[in-house]
Amino acid sequence: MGVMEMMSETSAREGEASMYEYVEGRDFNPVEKVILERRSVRRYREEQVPEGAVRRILECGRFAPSAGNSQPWRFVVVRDRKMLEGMERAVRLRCRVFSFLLDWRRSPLGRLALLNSRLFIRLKRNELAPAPFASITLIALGKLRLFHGAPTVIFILEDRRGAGKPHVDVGICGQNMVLAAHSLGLGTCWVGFIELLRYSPYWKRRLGVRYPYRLAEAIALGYPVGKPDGMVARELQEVAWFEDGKCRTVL
Amino acid sequence: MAVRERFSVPRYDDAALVRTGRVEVDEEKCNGCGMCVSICPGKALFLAEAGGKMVARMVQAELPECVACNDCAAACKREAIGAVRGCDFGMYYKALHRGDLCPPRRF
Repeated sequence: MGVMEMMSETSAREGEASMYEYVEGRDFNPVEKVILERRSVRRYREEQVPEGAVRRILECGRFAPSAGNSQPWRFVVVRDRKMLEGMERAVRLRCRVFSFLLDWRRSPLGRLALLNSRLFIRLKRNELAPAPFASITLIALGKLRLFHGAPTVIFILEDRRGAGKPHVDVGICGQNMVLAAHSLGLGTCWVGFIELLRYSPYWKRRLGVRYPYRLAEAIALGYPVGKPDGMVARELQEVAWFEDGKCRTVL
Repeated sequence: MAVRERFSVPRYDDAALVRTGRVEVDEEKCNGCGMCVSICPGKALFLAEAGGKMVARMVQAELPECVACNDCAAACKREAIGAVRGCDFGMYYKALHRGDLCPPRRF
Protein backbone atom coordinates (compact mmCIF):
# COMPACT_ATOMS: atom_id res chain seq x y z
CA MET A 1 0.00 0.00 0.00
CA GLY A 2 1.32 3.45 -0.96
CA VAL A 3 1.76 6.37 1.40
CA MET A 4 -1.19 8.21 -0.09
CA GLU A 5 -3.60 5.33 0.40
CA MET A 6 -2.35 4.88 3.95
CA MET A 7 -2.81 8.56 4.73
CA SER A 8 -6.32 8.79 3.30
CA GLU A 9 -7.36 5.60 5.06
CA THR A 10 -6.15 6.88 8.44
CA SER A 11 -7.89 10.21 7.97
CA ALA A 12 -11.11 8.54 6.79
CA ARG A 13 -11.12 6.64 10.05
CA GLU A 14 -10.52 9.80 12.02
CA GLY A 15 -13.18 11.66 10.03
CA GLU A 16 -10.87 14.46 8.91
CA ALA A 17 -9.37 15.38 5.55
CA SER A 18 -5.98 13.91 4.64
CA MET A 19 -3.00 16.06 3.70
CA TYR A 20 -3.25 14.65 0.20
CA GLU A 21 -6.58 16.30 -0.38
CA TYR A 22 -7.69 19.76 -1.42
CA VAL A 23 -10.05 21.43 1.03
CA GLU A 24 -11.01 25.00 0.21
CA GLY A 25 -9.51 27.65 2.47
CA ARG A 26 -7.70 25.16 4.68
CA ASP A 27 -4.55 26.24 6.48
CA PHE A 28 -1.21 25.51 4.81
CA ASN A 29 -0.08 21.90 5.17
CA PRO A 30 3.48 21.08 6.30
CA VAL A 31 4.82 20.86 2.72
CA GLU A 32 3.30 24.21 1.77
CA LYS A 33 4.70 25.70 4.96
CA VAL A 34 8.20 24.48 4.14
CA ILE A 35 7.90 26.01 0.68
CA LEU A 36 6.38 29.31 1.78
CA GLU A 37 8.46 29.92 4.90
CA ARG A 38 11.81 29.17 3.30
CA ARG A 39 13.99 32.25 2.94
CA SER A 40 17.53 32.47 1.64
CA VAL A 41 19.81 32.45 4.66
CA ARG A 42 22.83 34.74 4.63
CA ARG A 43 24.15 34.39 8.17
CA TYR A 44 25.22 31.02 9.57
CA ARG A 45 26.37 29.65 12.88
CA GLU A 46 29.88 28.18 13.10
CA GLU A 47 28.50 24.76 14.10
CA GLN A 48 28.93 22.08 11.42
CA VAL A 49 25.90 20.27 10.01
CA PRO A 50 25.78 16.53 10.90
CA GLU A 51 26.98 14.33 8.06
CA GLY A 52 23.73 12.36 8.16
CA ALA A 53 21.67 15.49 7.52
CA VAL A 54 23.73 16.32 4.42
CA ARG A 55 23.42 12.72 3.18
CA ARG A 56 19.69 12.91 3.71
CA ILE A 57 19.45 16.16 1.73
CA LEU A 58 21.51 14.66 -1.12
CA GLU A 59 19.08 11.75 -1.12
CA CYS A 60 16.23 14.17 -1.88
CA GLY A 61 18.29 15.56 -4.76
CA ARG A 62 18.83 12.05 -6.12
CA PHE A 63 15.09 11.52 -6.43
CA ALA A 64 14.35 14.73 -8.36
CA PRO A 65 12.53 14.35 -11.68
CA SER A 66 14.67 14.83 -14.81
CA ALA A 67 14.10 14.63 -18.55
CA GLY A 68 14.25 11.00 -19.66
CA ASN A 69 15.44 10.17 -16.12
CA SER A 70 18.85 11.32 -17.33
CA GLN A 71 19.88 12.69 -13.87
CA PRO A 72 22.26 15.21 -15.42
CA TRP A 73 24.01 16.17 -12.17
CA ARG A 74 26.96 15.41 -9.99
CA PHE A 75 27.24 16.58 -6.40
CA VAL A 76 30.39 17.86 -4.76
CA VAL A 77 30.21 18.49 -1.01
CA VAL A 78 32.79 20.80 0.53
CA ARG A 79 33.02 21.01 4.33
CA ASP A 80 36.58 22.21 4.48
CA ARG A 81 36.80 25.79 5.80
CA LYS A 82 40.15 26.39 4.10
CA MET A 83 38.81 25.32 0.72
CA LEU A 84 35.67 27.44 1.08
CA GLU A 85 37.74 30.46 2.02
CA GLY A 86 40.04 29.81 -0.95
CA MET A 87 37.08 29.77 -3.32
CA GLU A 88 35.74 32.96 -1.74
CA ARG A 89 39.08 34.63 -2.37
CA ALA A 90 39.18 33.40 -5.97
CA VAL A 91 35.68 34.72 -6.68
CA ARG A 92 36.41 38.00 -4.93
CA LEU A 93 39.53 38.51 -7.02
CA ARG A 94 37.52 37.99 -10.21
CA CYS A 95 34.82 40.35 -8.96
CA ARG A 96 37.49 42.97 -8.39
CA VAL A 97 38.65 42.60 -11.98
CA PHE A 98 35.09 42.93 -13.30
CA SER A 99 34.40 45.82 -10.97
CA PHE A 100 37.54 47.56 -12.23
CA LEU A 101 36.45 47.06 -15.84
CA LEU A 102 32.76 47.83 -15.45
CA ASP A 103 31.81 49.80 -12.35
CA TRP A 104 32.01 53.38 -13.55
CA ARG A 105 31.20 54.71 -10.08
CA ARG A 106 34.38 53.35 -8.53
CA SER A 107 36.76 52.29 -11.26
CA PRO A 108 39.75 54.52 -11.98
CA LEU A 109 38.88 53.94 -15.65
CA GLY A 110 35.95 56.32 -15.18
CA ARG A 111 34.19 56.99 -18.45
CA LEU A 112 35.85 54.02 -20.13
CA ALA A 113 34.28 51.77 -17.47
CA LEU A 114 30.89 53.28 -18.27
CA LEU A 115 31.38 52.50 -21.96
CA ASN A 116 32.60 49.00 -21.05
CA SER A 117 29.51 48.39 -18.93
CA ARG A 118 27.18 49.56 -21.70
CA LEU A 119 28.79 47.03 -24.03
CA PHE A 120 29.24 44.11 -21.62
CA ILE A 121 25.70 44.37 -20.21
CA ARG A 122 24.43 43.92 -23.76
CA LEU A 123 26.65 40.88 -24.26
CA LYS A 124 25.92 39.30 -20.87
CA ARG A 125 22.34 40.38 -20.21
CA ASN A 126 21.63 37.78 -17.53
CA GLU A 127 24.97 37.75 -15.76
CA LEU A 128 25.15 41.55 -15.66
CA ALA A 129 21.49 42.32 -14.91
CA PRO A 130 21.11 45.08 -12.29
CA ALA A 131 21.09 42.84 -9.19
CA PRO A 132 24.19 40.70 -9.98
CA PHE A 133 25.93 43.82 -11.31
CA ALA A 134 25.51 45.45 -7.90
CA SER A 135 26.63 42.22 -6.16
CA ILE A 136 29.87 42.13 -8.15
CA THR A 137 30.85 45.42 -6.52
CA LEU A 138 29.66 44.30 -3.07
CA ILE A 139 31.74 41.10 -3.31
CA ALA A 140 34.73 43.03 -4.67
CA LEU A 141 34.55 45.42 -1.71
CA GLY A 142 34.28 42.51 0.72
CA LYS A 143 30.82 43.65 1.90
CA LEU A 144 29.08 40.50 0.68
CA ARG A 145 30.53 37.05 1.32
CA LEU A 146 30.20 34.33 -1.28
CA PHE A 147 29.01 31.54 1.03
CA HIS A 148 27.89 33.82 3.88
CA GLY A 149 30.02 31.79 6.31
CA ALA A 150 28.17 28.51 5.73
CA PRO A 151 30.11 25.45 7.03
CA THR A 152 28.91 23.14 4.23
CA VAL A 153 28.44 23.85 0.53
CA ILE A 154 26.91 21.48 -2.02
CA PHE A 155 28.11 22.17 -5.56
CA ILE A 156 25.93 20.92 -8.38
CA LEU A 157 27.74 20.11 -11.60
CA GLU A 158 25.62 19.86 -14.70
CA ASP A 159 26.19 16.97 -17.10
CA ARG A 160 25.99 18.71 -20.46
CA ARG A 161 24.96 15.48 -22.18
CA GLY A 162 21.67 15.37 -20.26
CA ALA A 163 18.39 14.82 -22.11
CA GLY A 164 16.36 17.89 -23.05
CA LYS A 165 17.27 20.82 -20.81
CA PRO A 166 19.82 19.64 -18.22
CA HIS A 167 20.13 23.14 -16.68
CA VAL A 168 16.43 23.04 -15.78
CA ASP A 169 16.83 19.57 -14.25
CA VAL A 170 19.74 20.83 -12.17
CA GLY A 171 17.46 23.56 -10.80
CA ILE A 172 14.72 21.10 -9.97
CA CYS A 173 17.20 18.83 -8.20
CA GLY A 174 18.68 21.71 -6.24
CA GLN A 175 15.32 23.00 -5.06
CA ASN A 176 14.46 19.49 -3.85
CA MET A 177 17.57 19.66 -1.65
CA VAL A 178 16.89 23.22 -0.49
CA LEU A 179 13.37 22.33 0.64
CA ALA A 180 14.55 19.13 2.30
CA ALA A 181 17.21 21.13 4.16
CA HIS A 182 14.66 23.67 5.32
CA SER A 183 12.39 20.91 6.57
CA LEU A 184 15.31 19.69 8.72
CA GLY A 185 15.72 23.12 10.33
CA LEU A 186 18.72 24.08 8.21
CA GLY A 187 19.25 27.26 6.25
CA THR A 188 20.31 27.38 2.61
CA CYS A 189 21.22 29.92 -0.01
CA TRP A 190 21.63 29.46 -3.74
CA VAL A 191 25.04 30.74 -4.75
CA GLY A 192 25.22 31.47 -8.47
CA PHE A 193 28.42 33.50 -8.22
CA ILE A 194 30.49 30.29 -8.06
CA GLU A 195 30.12 30.58 -11.82
CA LEU A 196 33.20 32.79 -11.64
CA LEU A 197 35.22 29.71 -10.61
CA ARG A 198 34.85 28.69 -14.26
CA TYR A 199 37.66 31.17 -14.87
CA SER A 200 39.90 29.39 -12.37
CA PRO A 201 41.73 26.32 -13.74
CA TYR A 202 42.93 25.50 -10.22
CA TRP A 203 39.48 25.27 -8.67
CA LYS A 204 38.02 23.52 -11.69
CA ARG A 205 40.68 20.84 -11.36
CA ARG A 206 40.26 20.62 -7.60
CA LEU A 207 36.46 20.19 -7.85
CA GLY A 208 36.69 17.79 -10.79
CA VAL A 209 34.88 20.09 -13.22
CA ARG A 210 35.79 18.75 -16.66
CA TYR A 211 33.83 17.58 -19.66
CA PRO A 212 30.98 16.63 -19.61
CA TYR A 213 30.53 18.55 -16.37
CA ARG A 214 30.00 22.26 -15.92
CA LEU A 215 29.76 24.20 -12.66
CA ALA A 216 26.08 25.06 -12.45
CA GLU A 217 25.17 26.22 -8.95
CA ALA A 218 26.10 25.87 -5.31
CA ILE A 219 23.91 25.61 -2.24
CA ALA A 220 25.28 27.01 1.01
CA LEU A 221 24.09 24.98 3.97
CA GLY A 222 24.18 25.52 7.71
CA TYR A 223 22.34 26.45 10.86
CA PRO A 224 20.98 29.97 10.59
CA VAL A 225 21.68 32.72 13.10
CA GLY A 226 18.37 33.83 14.59
CA LYS A 227 15.11 32.92 12.88
CA PRO A 228 15.37 34.15 9.30
CA ASP A 229 12.47 32.09 7.95
CA GLY A 230 8.87 33.13 7.58
CA MET A 231 6.19 34.04 5.09
CA VAL A 232 6.54 37.42 3.41
CA ALA A 233 4.83 39.50 0.75
CA ARG A 234 5.85 38.94 -2.87
CA GLU A 235 4.68 40.39 -6.18
CA LEU A 236 1.52 38.77 -7.51
CA GLN A 237 1.90 37.11 -10.89
CA GLU A 238 -0.53 37.84 -13.65
CA VAL A 239 -1.75 34.50 -15.00
CA ALA A 240 -3.46 34.00 -18.35
CA TRP A 241 -6.25 31.50 -17.71
CA PHE A 242 -7.95 29.73 -20.62
CA GLU A 243 -11.18 27.95 -19.87
CA ASP A 244 -14.51 27.30 -21.62
CA GLY A 245 -13.30 28.96 -24.82
CA LYS A 246 -12.48 32.22 -23.03
CA CYS A 247 -9.34 33.80 -21.67
CA ARG A 248 -9.16 35.86 -18.51
CA THR A 249 -6.41 37.30 -16.38
CA VAL A 250 -5.98 35.93 -12.90
CA LEU A 251 -3.84 37.67 -10.28
CA MET B 1 7.40 44.78 -24.86
CA ALA B 2 8.18 47.52 -27.34
CA VAL B 3 11.03 47.01 -29.79
CA ARG B 4 12.77 50.10 -28.45
CA GLU B 5 12.73 48.60 -24.94
CA ARG B 6 14.10 45.31 -26.14
CA PHE B 7 17.19 46.99 -27.43
CA SER B 8 17.87 49.57 -24.75
CA VAL B 9 19.55 48.85 -21.46
CA PRO B 10 18.89 51.33 -18.65
CA ARG B 11 21.76 53.15 -16.99
CA TYR B 12 21.65 51.51 -13.60
CA ASP B 13 22.25 54.72 -11.68
CA ASP B 14 19.53 56.67 -13.47
CA ALA B 15 16.63 56.99 -11.04
CA ALA B 16 14.34 58.07 -13.87
CA LEU B 17 14.71 54.65 -15.51
CA VAL B 18 15.37 52.32 -12.60
CA ARG B 19 12.95 51.79 -9.73
CA THR B 20 14.51 49.76 -6.93
CA GLY B 21 12.61 48.03 -4.19
CA ARG B 22 11.86 50.04 -1.09
CA VAL B 23 11.63 48.95 2.52
CA GLU B 24 10.00 50.91 5.27
CA VAL B 25 11.13 50.77 8.88
CA ASP B 26 8.82 51.41 11.80
CA GLU B 27 11.26 53.36 13.93
CA GLU B 28 9.06 52.96 17.01
CA LYS B 29 9.32 49.16 16.84
CA CYS B 30 12.93 48.90 15.56
CA ASN B 31 15.44 48.29 18.35
CA GLY B 32 18.51 48.53 16.15
CA CYS B 33 19.54 44.87 16.58
CA GLY B 34 21.08 44.97 13.10
CA MET B 35 19.87 41.54 11.97
CA CYS B 36 18.30 42.93 8.77
CA VAL B 37 21.45 44.92 8.04
CA SER B 38 23.66 41.83 8.28
CA ILE B 39 21.51 39.59 6.06
CA CYS B 40 20.46 42.05 3.35
CA PRO B 41 21.71 40.58 0.03
CA GLY B 42 22.05 44.02 -1.54
CA LYS B 43 23.51 45.68 1.58
CA ALA B 44 20.76 48.22 1.14
CA LEU B 45 20.33 48.78 4.89
CA PHE B 46 22.47 50.42 7.56
CA LEU B 47 22.11 51.44 11.17
CA ALA B 48 21.60 55.10 11.89
CA GLU B 49 21.04 57.05 15.05
CA ALA B 50 17.55 58.47 15.45
CA GLY B 51 15.98 59.87 18.59
CA GLY B 52 18.69 58.57 20.90
CA LYS B 53 18.68 54.98 19.60
CA MET B 54 19.90 53.01 16.61
CA VAL B 55 17.44 52.13 13.87
CA ALA B 56 17.72 50.46 10.45
CA ARG B 57 17.55 52.77 7.45
CA MET B 58 17.72 52.29 3.72
CA VAL B 59 20.90 53.30 1.93
CA GLN B 60 20.46 56.17 -0.53
CA ALA B 61 22.60 54.95 -3.40
CA GLU B 62 22.63 55.39 -7.15
CA LEU B 63 22.66 51.69 -7.94
CA PRO B 64 19.72 49.37 -7.32
CA GLU B 65 20.40 47.60 -4.06
CA CYS B 66 16.97 46.55 -2.74
CA VAL B 67 15.28 43.83 -4.77
CA ALA B 68 12.28 43.56 -2.42
CA CYS B 69 13.23 40.00 -1.42
CA ASN B 70 11.74 40.74 2.02
CA ASP B 71 14.35 38.64 3.85
CA CYS B 72 14.57 41.56 6.29
CA ALA B 73 10.84 41.29 7.03
CA ALA B 74 11.13 37.54 7.68
CA ALA B 75 14.14 37.93 9.96
CA CYS B 76 12.82 40.85 12.01
CA LYS B 77 11.60 39.68 15.42
CA ARG B 78 9.58 42.85 15.95
CA GLU B 79 7.87 43.13 12.56
CA ALA B 80 9.42 46.55 12.23
CA ILE B 81 10.59 46.31 8.62
CA GLY B 82 9.24 45.22 5.26
CA ALA B 83 9.23 45.95 1.56
CA VAL B 84 6.48 48.29 0.41
CA ARG B 85 7.42 48.36 -3.26
CA GLY B 86 8.78 45.79 -5.70
CA CYS B 87 11.64 46.61 -8.05
CA ASP B 88 11.42 47.37 -11.74
CA PHE B 89 14.67 48.05 -13.53
CA GLY B 90 12.96 49.36 -16.66
CA MET B 91 13.59 49.12 -20.41
CA TYR B 92 15.21 45.77 -21.25
CA TYR B 93 14.75 44.67 -17.62
CA LYS B 94 11.16 45.93 -17.29
CA ALA B 95 9.03 43.84 -14.93
CA LEU B 96 6.18 42.22 -16.83
CA HIS B 97 2.88 40.77 -15.67
CA ARG B 98 3.43 41.57 -12.00
CA GLY B 99 0.96 42.77 -9.39
CA ASP B 100 1.43 44.36 -5.99
CA LEU B 101 3.27 42.73 -3.09
CA CYS B 102 1.01 40.22 -1.35
CA PRO B 103 1.59 37.51 1.29
CA PRO B 104 0.71 33.84 0.52
CA ARG B 105 -3.01 33.27 0.09
CA ARG B 106 -5.16 30.25 0.95
CA PHE B 107 -7.56 29.31 -1.81
